[in-house]
Amino acid sequence: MKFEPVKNNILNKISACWISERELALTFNQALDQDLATEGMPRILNARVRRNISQSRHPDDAKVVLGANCVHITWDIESSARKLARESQTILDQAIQWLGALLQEEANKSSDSSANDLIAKKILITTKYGDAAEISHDLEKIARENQLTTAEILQRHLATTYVVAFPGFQPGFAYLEPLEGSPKIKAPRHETPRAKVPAGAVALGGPYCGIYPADGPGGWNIIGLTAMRFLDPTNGRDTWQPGDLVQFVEEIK
Amino acid sequence: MTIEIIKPAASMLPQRHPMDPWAGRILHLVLGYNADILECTLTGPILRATARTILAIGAPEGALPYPVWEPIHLSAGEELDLRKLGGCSRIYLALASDSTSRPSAPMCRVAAGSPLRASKSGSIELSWVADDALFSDAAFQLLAASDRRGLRYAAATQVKGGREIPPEPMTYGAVQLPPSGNPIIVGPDGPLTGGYQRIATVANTSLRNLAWQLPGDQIAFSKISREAALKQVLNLEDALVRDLLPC
Repeated sequence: MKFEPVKNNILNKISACWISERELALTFNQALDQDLATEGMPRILNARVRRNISQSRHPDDAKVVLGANCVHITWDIESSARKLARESQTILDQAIQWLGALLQEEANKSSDSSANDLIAKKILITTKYGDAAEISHDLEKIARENQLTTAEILQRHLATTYVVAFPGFQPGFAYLEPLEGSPKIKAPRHETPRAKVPAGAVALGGPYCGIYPADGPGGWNIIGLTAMRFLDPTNGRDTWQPGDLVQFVEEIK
Repeated sequence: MTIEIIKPAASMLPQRHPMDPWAGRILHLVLGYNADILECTLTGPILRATARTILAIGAPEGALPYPVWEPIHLSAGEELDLRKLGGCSRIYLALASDSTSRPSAPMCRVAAGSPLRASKSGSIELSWVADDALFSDAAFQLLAASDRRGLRYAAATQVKGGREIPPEPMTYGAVQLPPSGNPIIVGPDGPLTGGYQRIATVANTSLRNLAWQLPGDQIAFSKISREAALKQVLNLEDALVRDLLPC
């Protein structure tokens, strides 16, 4: 399978919108992995594309942050205000081309099977689960919302293999997405986020699982506590990457 | 250092990402680029000069019994009491490089009446609104559970809550609407991404107004176009050239 440089059908899948003076939201019209699947790329590429985007540098040195279905590019207002005022449309068009080229590059790689291997680690996370007052503050809430027992929720959570989908929230945090076919747990976020969630809290939010890297506010549902952290303090980088696999293991009491 | 701290501020941080994104730029033009700048929150410090010292304060006009946005000369032994921040939540304190070394540039003061001289206002302009149905021009009150990570507001009247979204990037000034209907404005130390619906973005020049808000203060949102918001940024950029007078 061969692809031309940035095909229109890739570009057509990205919409762009300025959401402040300096922040441009590039949104994938469908979920990114569905999009790429239609390009004939295997699902695992989703992780590689995300890894590639989260590590890429924008030509203007603008900040690139990945969301679930979007990429936001934020320019430094101090150095770019005049350019942003003068060349909004050009900047927007170039950003679509830039992201399209990254996706095209991945599409091209997928036709070369030797470049198709994603080196992924499997990470076991030993976690304490306990009573509502001390550790698993929201386990009963989640059980009620799913009409299951707390034991059944934990059983589903522990039976799930998660994939590191993309970084975000704070350094050391990643959105962990259940692998396809995993048992489902509904976990709507709190109506008002808590002012303080402890560091190491294992929590569920929407379809995702995550580990709070530091004490701070948060709206996810706390179900456990781990001592493991995923930030290398020597270089400030995350120690996991999109595509890595994660399995939670209950710490023996 | 030619300053000793008699009593520290409640919180005193060197700022790479200040709540008022313009304060650092202005104070660096006032005192020179090697000035050190601290963001003091809730109370300021009591300082005493141990030798001849030059410093400058960034704060809304009238908040302190000292001149703001211009050099203040202290002689040895002189004290500056910044504990009471007259109705605002933070100030910026710039200390000129050691008086034994030469200042990096001629010192300046900000001209009277310049837009660079901030004033406290609860009027917050939005340079982007996602959905007019979720926009409210009602008053919102700042809650005490606010910090540099997020400014939490309570709606004075019931406001329709937002929905959960697939996580998307957040930046300083993003307005999130959790299902409760009480908005949160993401602060400079806020999360990189979030899953509460982002309904708007605060215009860059209105971030200055957020910086001074105290718990209990009220704000109201209004909408402006992105073009108008950029024009306001460029007006302040022009003022950085026009309104800094040598002294």
